[in-house]
Amino acid sequence: MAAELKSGEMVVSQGDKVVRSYLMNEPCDVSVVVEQGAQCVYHILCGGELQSDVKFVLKKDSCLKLILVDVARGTSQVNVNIELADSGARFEFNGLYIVGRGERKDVVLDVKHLVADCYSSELMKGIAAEDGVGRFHGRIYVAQDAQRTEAYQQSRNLLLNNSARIFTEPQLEIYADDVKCSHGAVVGQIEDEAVYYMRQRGIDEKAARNLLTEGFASEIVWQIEDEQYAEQVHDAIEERLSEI
Amino acid sequence: MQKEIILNVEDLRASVEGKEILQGINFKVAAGEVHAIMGPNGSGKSTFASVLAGNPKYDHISGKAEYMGKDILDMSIEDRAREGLFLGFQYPVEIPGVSMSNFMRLAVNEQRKYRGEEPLTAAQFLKLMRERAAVVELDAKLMNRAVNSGFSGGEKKRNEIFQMAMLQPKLALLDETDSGLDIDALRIVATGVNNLRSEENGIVLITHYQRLLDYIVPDYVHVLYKGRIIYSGDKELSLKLEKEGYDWLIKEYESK
Ligand SMILES: Nc1ncnc2c1ncn2[C@@H]1O[C@H](COP(=O)(O)OP(=O)(O)O)[C@@H](O)[C@H]1O
Ligand SMILES: [Mg+2]
Repeated sequence: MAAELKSGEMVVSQGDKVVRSYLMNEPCDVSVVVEQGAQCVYHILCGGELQSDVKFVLKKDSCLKLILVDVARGTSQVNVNIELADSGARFEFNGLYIVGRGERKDVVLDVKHLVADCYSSELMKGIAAEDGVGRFHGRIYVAQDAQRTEAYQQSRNLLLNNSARIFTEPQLEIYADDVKCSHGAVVGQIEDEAVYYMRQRGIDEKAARNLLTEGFASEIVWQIEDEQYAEQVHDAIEERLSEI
Repeated sequence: MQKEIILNVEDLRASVEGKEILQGINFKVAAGEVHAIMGPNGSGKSTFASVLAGNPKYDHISGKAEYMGKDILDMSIEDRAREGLFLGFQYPVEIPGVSMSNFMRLAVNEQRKYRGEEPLTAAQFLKLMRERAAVVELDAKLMNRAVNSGFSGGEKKRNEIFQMAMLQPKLALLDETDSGLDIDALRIVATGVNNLRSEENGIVLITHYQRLLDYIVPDYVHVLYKGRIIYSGDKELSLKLEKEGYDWLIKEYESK
């Protein structure tokens, strides 16, 4: 079972391999140090109206895979702060939010490459329905000494109708000269062709749209490395999508 | 005994983006029949299939299309499908994030629900899916992949025939399912179609090439040109078209 995420400090010890699954049901301020050579997966599923700060510091040759899913009802903001503090550190991010009527969701992801030879990649997905507003602010900071940095950011978003809004704000601050860095953002709608194809197979329009939306979200769920928890996240997404 | 009429199209006119494409089509399919529709590019073959399937991009102007005695132009896309009308797409659509097996299970069960039948259990569905995938020699692993995503051209076409085999339609419209296939793939597609062929069903093959018709011998061959069927014949017609092209027919038609 997933644990409740509470404010405080955590450590992933040197060389450890851990998979941690959390429910974030209330605002919290969490800080995690990932020690040398540790490999960890953090799953965080948000459960309500909140504003939270989550910070990770990655030491030498450590690796963090973070999956953040916010499909709860209500307005929330999650600030994620990543420091790649020593060489060989790797960070992978997969995020998903769903925002519906009268709600707003913000994800602010700040990734700092402070030293050379680190890697980060981010995939953020947003789904907005009704008059919901979503925003992803993704900063990639590469310090002057952080040579041979690789940093990639993708923001892919789905608007379920015309009054929904998604803002996607990449912010690249690169002071080193030997870096591989890319970012991209797409805000689109469900493809009519795909809906038509599914209807031609006997699936009604609403079910087709739901399946396509679920499919869009599922790419993030597939990244989860805890089967039971993945099931729980999947159900949360399905439930939310059935409401909007 | 008279054969059941599956499809009856009379003087059908339809447009896309305000341009009239179908200019009065007459076409009838009775149970047990296989029809081939041939014709130069841009003559309206895909448009015809799309109008029958209910593609919302195409507008009906006049004329009728009855399927099993009912006006289908009034029916929703999904109800046409649930009534057993199947369109094999010329360009199958990719559906990222939706696995083949989820997609097909929903499709099969929606069809069953429509007919008042119980849904298939997971085990029944899996068995059916494996059987039918084997017929078109489609790798069972593809069933866990997203629909058509990253499928090769040939896999996409065989996937259309696989879906047809799953849904067992009363009327199958196959829009250039043979295009771009090598001889092996063509043979596989033909096997899938011939398996469906029966005294109860109708099959319409839209094709450019005679070669498919070596494997699936049609009862009738029609030539569609500028939105009209300008000539109908039997298998011999397709052989003649293969040798001589469409020009002689078009000249004859335009001199009238
Ligand atoms: N979605 C569309 N938008 C605009 N024009 C179209 C569309 N579909 C078909 N057409 C036009 O209709 C005509 C017939 O096309 P189509 O039915 O695809 O022919 P065929 O399948 O016989 O090659 C062509 O002139 C084509 O450009
Ligand atoms: Mg065509």
